[in-house]
Amino acid sequence: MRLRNAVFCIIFFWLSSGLFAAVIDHDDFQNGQVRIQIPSGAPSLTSDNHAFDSSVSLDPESVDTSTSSAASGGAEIEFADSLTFDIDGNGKYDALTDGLLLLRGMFGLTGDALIAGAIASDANYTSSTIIAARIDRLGDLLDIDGNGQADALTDGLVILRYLFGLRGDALVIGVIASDATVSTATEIGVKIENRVRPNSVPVAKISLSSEAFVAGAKASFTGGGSTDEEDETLSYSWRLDKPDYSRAELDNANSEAVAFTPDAIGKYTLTLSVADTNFGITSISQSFTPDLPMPDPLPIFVATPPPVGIIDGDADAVRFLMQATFGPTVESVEDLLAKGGEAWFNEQLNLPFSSWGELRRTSWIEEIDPIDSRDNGKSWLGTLFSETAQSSPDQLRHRVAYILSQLFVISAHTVGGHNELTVTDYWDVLGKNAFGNFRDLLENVTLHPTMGQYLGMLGNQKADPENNVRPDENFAREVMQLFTIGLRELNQDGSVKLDTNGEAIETYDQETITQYAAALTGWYFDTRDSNHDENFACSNTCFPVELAKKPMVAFDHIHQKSAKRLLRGYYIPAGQSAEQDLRITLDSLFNHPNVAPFFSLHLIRQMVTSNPSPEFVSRVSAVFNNNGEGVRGDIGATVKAVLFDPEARRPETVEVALYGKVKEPLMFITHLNRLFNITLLTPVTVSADNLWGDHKWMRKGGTPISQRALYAESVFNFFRPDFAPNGEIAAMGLVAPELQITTEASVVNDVEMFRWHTTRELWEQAITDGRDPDQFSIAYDFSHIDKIWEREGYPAVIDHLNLYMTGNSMDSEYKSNLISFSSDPNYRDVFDGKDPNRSPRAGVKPYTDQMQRHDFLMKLIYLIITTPEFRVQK
Amino acid sequence: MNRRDFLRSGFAGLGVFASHSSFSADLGIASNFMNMSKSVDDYKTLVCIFLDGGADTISLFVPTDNTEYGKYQKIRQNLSYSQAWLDPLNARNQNSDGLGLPNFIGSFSSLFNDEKLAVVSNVGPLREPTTLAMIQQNKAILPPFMNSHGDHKVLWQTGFVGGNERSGWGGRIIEAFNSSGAKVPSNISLKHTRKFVRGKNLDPFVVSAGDIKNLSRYVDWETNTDLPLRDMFKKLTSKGASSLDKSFTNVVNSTLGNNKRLKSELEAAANTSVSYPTSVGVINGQDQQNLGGWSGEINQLTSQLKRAAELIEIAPALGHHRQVIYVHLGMFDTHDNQSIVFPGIMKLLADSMKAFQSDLEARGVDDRVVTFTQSEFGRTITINSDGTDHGWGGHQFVMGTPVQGGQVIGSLPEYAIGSSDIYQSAFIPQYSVEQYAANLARWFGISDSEMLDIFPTYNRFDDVNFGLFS
Repeated sequence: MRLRNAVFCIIFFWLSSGLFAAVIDHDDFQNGQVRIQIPSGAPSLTSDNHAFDSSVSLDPESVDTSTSSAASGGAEIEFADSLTFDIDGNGKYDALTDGLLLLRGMFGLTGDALIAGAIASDANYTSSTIIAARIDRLGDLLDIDGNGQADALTDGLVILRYLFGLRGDALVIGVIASDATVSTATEIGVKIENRVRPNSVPVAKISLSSEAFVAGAKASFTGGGSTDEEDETLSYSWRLDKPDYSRAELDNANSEAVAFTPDAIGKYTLTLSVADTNFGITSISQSFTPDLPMPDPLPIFVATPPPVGIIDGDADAVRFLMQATFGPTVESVEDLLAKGGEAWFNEQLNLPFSSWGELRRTSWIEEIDPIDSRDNGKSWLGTLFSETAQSSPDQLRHRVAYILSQLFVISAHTVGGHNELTVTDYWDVLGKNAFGNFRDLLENVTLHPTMGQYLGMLGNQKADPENNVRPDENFAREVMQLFTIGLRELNQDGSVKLDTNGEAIETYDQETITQYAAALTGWYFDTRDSNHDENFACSNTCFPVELAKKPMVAFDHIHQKSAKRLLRGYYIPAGQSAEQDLRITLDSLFNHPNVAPFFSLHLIRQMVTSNPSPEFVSRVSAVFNNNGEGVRGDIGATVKAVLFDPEARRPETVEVALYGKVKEPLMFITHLNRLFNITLLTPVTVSADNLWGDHKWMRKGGTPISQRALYAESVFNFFRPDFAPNGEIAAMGLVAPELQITTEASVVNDVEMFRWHTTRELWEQAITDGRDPDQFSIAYDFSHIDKIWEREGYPAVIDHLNLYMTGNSMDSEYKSNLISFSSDPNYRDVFDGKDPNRSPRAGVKPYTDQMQRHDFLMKLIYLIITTPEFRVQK
Repeated sequence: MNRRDFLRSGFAGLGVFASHSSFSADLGIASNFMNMSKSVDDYKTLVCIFLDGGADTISLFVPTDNTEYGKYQKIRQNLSYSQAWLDPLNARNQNSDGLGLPNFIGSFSSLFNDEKLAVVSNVGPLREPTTLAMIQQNKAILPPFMNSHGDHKVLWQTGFVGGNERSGWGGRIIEAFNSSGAKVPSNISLKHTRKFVRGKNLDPFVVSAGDIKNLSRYVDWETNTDLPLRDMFKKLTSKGASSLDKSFTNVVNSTLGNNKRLKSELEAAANTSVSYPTSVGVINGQDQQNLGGWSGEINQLTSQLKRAAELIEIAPALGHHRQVIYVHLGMFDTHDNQSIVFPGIMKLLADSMKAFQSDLEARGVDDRVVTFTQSEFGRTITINSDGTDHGWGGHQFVMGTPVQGGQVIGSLPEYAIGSSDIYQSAFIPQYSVEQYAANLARWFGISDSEMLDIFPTYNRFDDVNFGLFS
């Protein structure tokens, strides 16, 4: 088209004349953007009343082709006013100025020839180049008669006539091309009138069309509220400026409505440019800051204080102490009965914590092994456990710590360097939190370097997509599956929720794990005030001993800053610190409805019974959910709810298919160690030079090989809560978790621990008979039973053992079987009340009557501990 | 209800049929509800080595040429095995040009080249044959609780996906045979994990890998004869009691009776004449010492294998025409430190399996033994900073004189990010656990008609003969 050629000329002229530098950036142009830079000192092309940017984006395809033809051919100066015939920009339409300028322009005149004598005195534009550009931008609008080209002798003259005021035939005769498609005076008039009426620019308006602007939720905006006085078709162009770390993108930048998902908490600025068909453009910007989404609320839980502690008689006291401590003793039963359940429980809550760290410091361990000799393979953890279980006054706290250690499982088997100190401290963290809040416990466990190392959160780094590296998912998975919510959605009574197909509903999927793993990146040993470097990839061999007890700290540069979607509507916006992410992450788990039944079931199964009634679980869950004072997660109150529940205290009043639990090896051994005050007789002779000694470091009764505290084989603990042996238990759909580690191999190991014990009296005699006093010897203390036997006779001893070993589980037949020993000729010496004169073995002095009884009592105890009356706690 | 229908419906729970009317309480062999169980004359043993934690076996097949190795290295970063370590893989049943195995599993390469070891490619739990397209179109039903250790162990050990099945496929294939002549149960675990060898009714038997001990006040350790106090124990436990009581007493009784009989038979077994590994040894010039913290695992694995060899040798004396033995090796959950731990533990596994094969040969019983691996899942193709995470499919190893070795069964998955063999960074299994297990069970003597009893979901999959046995 001729006119288009003229445009190129003009541009060329601009460039060569140097008046303007028109810079066309190729890439911008590809993107539909043409940017003209105007040097300072050039005439202002913008007017104040328009929010007009010197660089405006326009998509050529969506703009009226009549106006874009010039633009699409090359550069264009963009004028603030709309496409009108007011060429000189004085706000009026005059034949002798505007009309003449148009006609000359269409004739191809330039420079002075274009403008001479045709510029109004109040003209806004006076330069010939600008006048030419203003004519040029009209493009096809000048083709009034619609024959496909703008000609001076037809289109130009008809415009001039119109501006002179001619109308009707006078307007059109002789100036309409033969190939015109618009030819009547009326039609011609309308087309010209459109260009001589001032065009108002549109009024742009941005409205949020979604209900809310919330991080993580797609938000829609519309420019549909924009208006234009002439009601011209409007086109829209959007731009989004977003805060750091945000990955939000507009779905379609050139439609009336757009949407994006804000993922960071910060200012999102939307800029909308609205153009009408006459090149009237308005841009406005509006900023929005998203709210953090509200997670799914928990149901409102009724305030449920735990029941008042009541203990009913000595058998109940024994049962209670099996559930709440490491085993009953004569003294502890007396103490409990004297104080009553409530006072005993409150006292336990308030007793000072006898921590393992302190025990290490104050005991001989520290003297022998001050810097943690784990490197030699030596472990004191069993010693610390035995000492505590057997002797510490704060029994309940340590029992709960032990129960927690089987939920928040770490294993000294695989935790690397400086094992002893860090695992010792881990126990103390469990103990300190034993009556605290579950949320605090969860955080303290999560940030403990022992857990960090065990499940790989320590040194866990943000994704490195370029190298195909993802965050480690281990802790993220297990904190959900094993520590807080489990795999299946639960009702508050512990039963599994089913979907409409009767299948369990999974609590999370792999995508959830990925999100949690990302949220939990960025933590490492607290190396800040130490000489140690951060070697994030190294967790095992670079365990600095002095940092083993300090919680991990955040290193922001290895924390993944992307947004994360967590469970139940919890959302982590992009760009947060590792600490902020951790808070939301742990909140999302703590505030999951599964936690109460999940944790309550764990406590109940560990303390009372493997197969509680749903009502029992419900009652405990209710206390966890709201302890009566509006607090969620009060572990102390939850423990109390378990121990003083009617189903724990008066099982005879409850209808359940199977009551009680099998005592795990460690609990049956601590029970015996405590009840019989089983103690090492030989002095502790192990020393720093002789760490292995003769195992003489174990001054209290030992721990079994089949189960050592803090030495689970894996994070799945010693046994799984859903284990059921073949036979009736599996057939009834019930469980017996502890039986998972009760095998032909473990039974022997556990029971045989007590096979070779002695008593002080027997041992002293053995020494006089030549036994090496330094030879390892562990003894029962039967002084209490000796007294009963002397005062009340053998049947009273059976009653004593029945009470303290089994909580009166022996029936009369069982007892009479045991009593029948007294009439068994093979045991005559034991019951005859006389010191015998025969030796039990050659070279050994004859036993006293007391020694014979001790020898017999050890057999008797051996019998009892191999029977379910002892091993099944009811 | 015929037996097959019973078993089909049975994976929701065996309830009524499972009442435990033991005719011989201390034998631990319940009255066999499978009246159709068959008698055989020959002797066969399946030894399962469970690689606990999820073994990254697929990563062991490494391209040898520079370009492909470069791609492998791009994926595996610091977990790549050095190109210089690779021994070429020469599969005789398919083209394996350009692939190598790292030399720390040189024992496997040598067993493979001797045609005593085969690899079954990319096996894992499936509900049905599954492709990436099916998953993406939401048409695939995936196994429940994907990537959870506990749940995937259960799937591997039960041998199929379905319900709350408590028995293991190792236990069920034992139950298919008449075991009335057995002196002790022949479904044996050498670690306390019992799921795999647990029958529907048959209780698993946990045998110590060390000395076979007994309750010394009931059975004399020296003479292996009963002591008088055992009678009192019998009296105390003979009466009716709760299910918990009975379950506990069953274990004690099994200990007393089975350990006693086993101990006396084991005296006839020869001491091993083969050297089992006592350390991980040297990898790539570096003595591993205890770099990976595996000191406990070495003795545990080798003592289990030695005990297995003895049990196999005395199988005829024990009346074990069919034996299933479960062996356990841990440390495969290599989220961290994988570059040290995994080569070490794999070397231990390969060296120990080779020693075990030699031991069986020396005892002259190798022609009746097949040893195979299981592991709850493979691991992700992509890495975290120093390890890998839970995946899905993994390669498994099958070893033995009866095995047609030197073969890679099935196609190797494409080791590339974005491959259609991969979903969420995990390999989509090509074979289901039941397809893998059925090939082993068939060698054991399970007939086609029994297969659905053992693996109720078997007909969801093609009946593929791997060609592992002649």
